[in-house]
Amino acid sequence: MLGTNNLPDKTDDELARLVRQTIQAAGQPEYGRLRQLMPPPPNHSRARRMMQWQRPLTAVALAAFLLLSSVGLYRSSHQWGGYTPTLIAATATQTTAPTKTALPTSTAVVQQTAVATPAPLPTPIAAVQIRPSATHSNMP
Amino acid sequence: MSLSDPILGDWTTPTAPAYTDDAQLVLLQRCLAGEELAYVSLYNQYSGMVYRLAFSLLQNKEDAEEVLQDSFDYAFRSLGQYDAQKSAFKTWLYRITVSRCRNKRRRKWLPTFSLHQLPSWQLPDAEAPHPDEVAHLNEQQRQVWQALQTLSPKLRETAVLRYYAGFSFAEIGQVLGIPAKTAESRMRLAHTALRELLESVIGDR
Repeated sequence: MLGTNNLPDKTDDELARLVRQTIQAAGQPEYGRLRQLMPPPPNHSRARRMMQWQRPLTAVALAAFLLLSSVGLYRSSHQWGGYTPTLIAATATQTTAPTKTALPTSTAVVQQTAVATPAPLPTPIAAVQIRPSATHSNMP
Repeated sequence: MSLSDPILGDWTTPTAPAYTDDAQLVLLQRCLAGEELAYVSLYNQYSGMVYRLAFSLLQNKEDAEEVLQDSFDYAFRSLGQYDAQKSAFKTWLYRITVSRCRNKRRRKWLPTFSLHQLPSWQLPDAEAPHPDEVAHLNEQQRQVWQALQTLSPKLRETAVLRYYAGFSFAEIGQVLGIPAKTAESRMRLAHTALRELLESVIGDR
């Protein structure tokens, strides 16, 4: 303890003794209090063991995930009915031409619609009765 | 290498730190292997010292208990980082404790108070020890305790590590994160101050 680094001054030894005694006496925790304050020990070994076997397992799991997901993507792309982007483009090209030829047909439909619309009935002006008395009263 | 001092004479060279012995290493290895009893043993071995160190630096039981818990919690979790080649386990543990005491003191330095206290400006004194906590001390011990409180935090840390923990200057330097020379000069100041403050106590004996 202090023996290795003792100060030649006697007061230093005396002070050390006094301070040690005082701190020992002042810092007396209640019985059992320190035990209550002990934090739970962490499980280092379990963590390390987990780490040891987890590393290859993680690599295998990652590889399996990548493989399965790529297979899944491949299959799902075929489940669309075999339509690849090239095929879709080809279909679009084919449908352009018939649309142009169908234009007259659509015009005819419009004309038919106009014909089919019934003409509005003439306004029944003749049916309005003009009272002769009112007409005469405005006359000078 | 030795230093001479007109008042204190020769200050011996700080010795090499007493690094962790074999039994201690075995205990630490058992802890790292996850043996719960080893943790209990380690805690029982050091908790009293850590608590007293914290209490003497903070002068407050609740704060000392919190520091004790925090220190061991951190030490248990970081046990794998402890390097027996660099320092003794006790030094490493004390370093953790002193660091937490400083944090606690820093936080208490900014006092929290209720708004009702504002008109009277009676802010609570964070440094004042609770009277009941040292009520059981005798008159002489009370004077020593008071003298320790009079020292600045830096000098108090040094004095407690030197007088209570029995550390060399090199070990004090390791704990406080300062060079051994600085620890030595701080100790010189602390010694002078304590000797003046406790002149009557020392002279009585």
